[in-house]
Amino acid sequence: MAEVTLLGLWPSPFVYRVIWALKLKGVEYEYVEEDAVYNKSDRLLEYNPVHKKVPVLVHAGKPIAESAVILEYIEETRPHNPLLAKDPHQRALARFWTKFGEDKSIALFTFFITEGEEQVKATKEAQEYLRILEEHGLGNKKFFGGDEIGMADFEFGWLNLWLPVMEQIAGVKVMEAESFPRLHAWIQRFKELPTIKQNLPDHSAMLTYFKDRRAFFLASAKS
Amino acid sequence: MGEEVKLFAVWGSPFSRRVEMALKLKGVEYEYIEVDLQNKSDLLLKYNPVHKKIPVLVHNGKPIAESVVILEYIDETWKGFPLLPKDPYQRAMARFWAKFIEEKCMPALFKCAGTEDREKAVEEACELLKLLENELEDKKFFGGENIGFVDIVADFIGGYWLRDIQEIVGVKILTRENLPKLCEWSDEFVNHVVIKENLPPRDKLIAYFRTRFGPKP
Repeated sequence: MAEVTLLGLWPSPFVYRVIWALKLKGVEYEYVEEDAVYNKSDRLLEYNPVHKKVPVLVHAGKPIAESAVILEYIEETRPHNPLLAKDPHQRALARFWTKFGEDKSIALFTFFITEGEEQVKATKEAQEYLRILEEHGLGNKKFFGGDEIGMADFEFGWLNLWLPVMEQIAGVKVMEAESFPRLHAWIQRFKELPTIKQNLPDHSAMLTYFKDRRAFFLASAKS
Repeated sequence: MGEEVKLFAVWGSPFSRRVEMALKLKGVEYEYIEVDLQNKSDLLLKYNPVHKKIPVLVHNGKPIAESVVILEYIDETWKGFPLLPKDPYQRAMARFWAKFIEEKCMPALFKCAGTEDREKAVEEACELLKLLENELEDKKFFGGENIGFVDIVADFIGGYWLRDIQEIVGVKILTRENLPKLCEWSDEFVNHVVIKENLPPRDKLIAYFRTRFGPKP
């Protein structure tokens, strides 16, 4: 793969999925930081006119948006260290759980942008989905992908650092270790992988950033 | 691949029809199992414990849920009549637009049939469909000369569902004035030799929509 650029936003777990995939597969790329929330550049608007968001992967001048779509593209163009199994049924399961993560992502984050009764309700809903993930998604597997990490592990990679940061700031524990032992064990394995360990945003910078974001969301909700 | 293929579906669902269209286009034999959504069988709950919904494809005993995931599976398993293009970038574009239809267009269109803030919902839906029309450009189908992945995922829009719901509810979304190219595409879609045999019976669908969305006496 020649000339690869990734437009990103440093605290975004969606962007990190793509970073992990590129790093795992040894793809050289140029990273470009975008102020995708407050000050979208002309470049971003040109490369992702539909959603105006990051991540956007630009390969030989051609842009691809949506992290799940980008991951499939990287997988097809760089088969080294595969993110999907060869078996079609296993691939379907990986895509099913990736979709589950996409569809439920707002519900899983809502506890972070709410307070009081709304937060209690949002936390409960997030826990229901995490329960499904623990029992049906991960089950007794080492990783979502089986013995090796795969696409679905990257989908839920945010549980590793982003969730504890959000829990700390929002003042609520969503995923207790005693209630979700398998997911917690998976997190321990996930974060020890060199690709992940060497590619995480700075923890204290995250705390600052997400603190501001929570304040912003709570203020907007009131207005 | 000699095998057993079963599909749990509902006659009027655009989601399970997507799967049927794909199977029919590829000439795959399957057993159709109609599901009573008010009375879900143990078998359905066993095959889709996470969402408890249709469609579910069961191939040699192994279940797969979520229509778009099923379409990818079908395309990988049965090679005749490819649904996704060969080129990786074109595949990425197809997946992008399928996601756009699924995550943005479908919810927006369903909102138009609701009673809350209908005018705003219709405006939003029209804007989204305009983006889809721009993507179509002058192609006969989203897949090019023939039907592909995106066309199938857009079945709700291309088939009779949207047309009939909008008439019964009394809103104008997919019209020749608003979206001429998309209208032309939808005509091609419903007249496609395989698709036209695999749309739900129109009168039955209209009767169902009248009950569900029609003005209450």
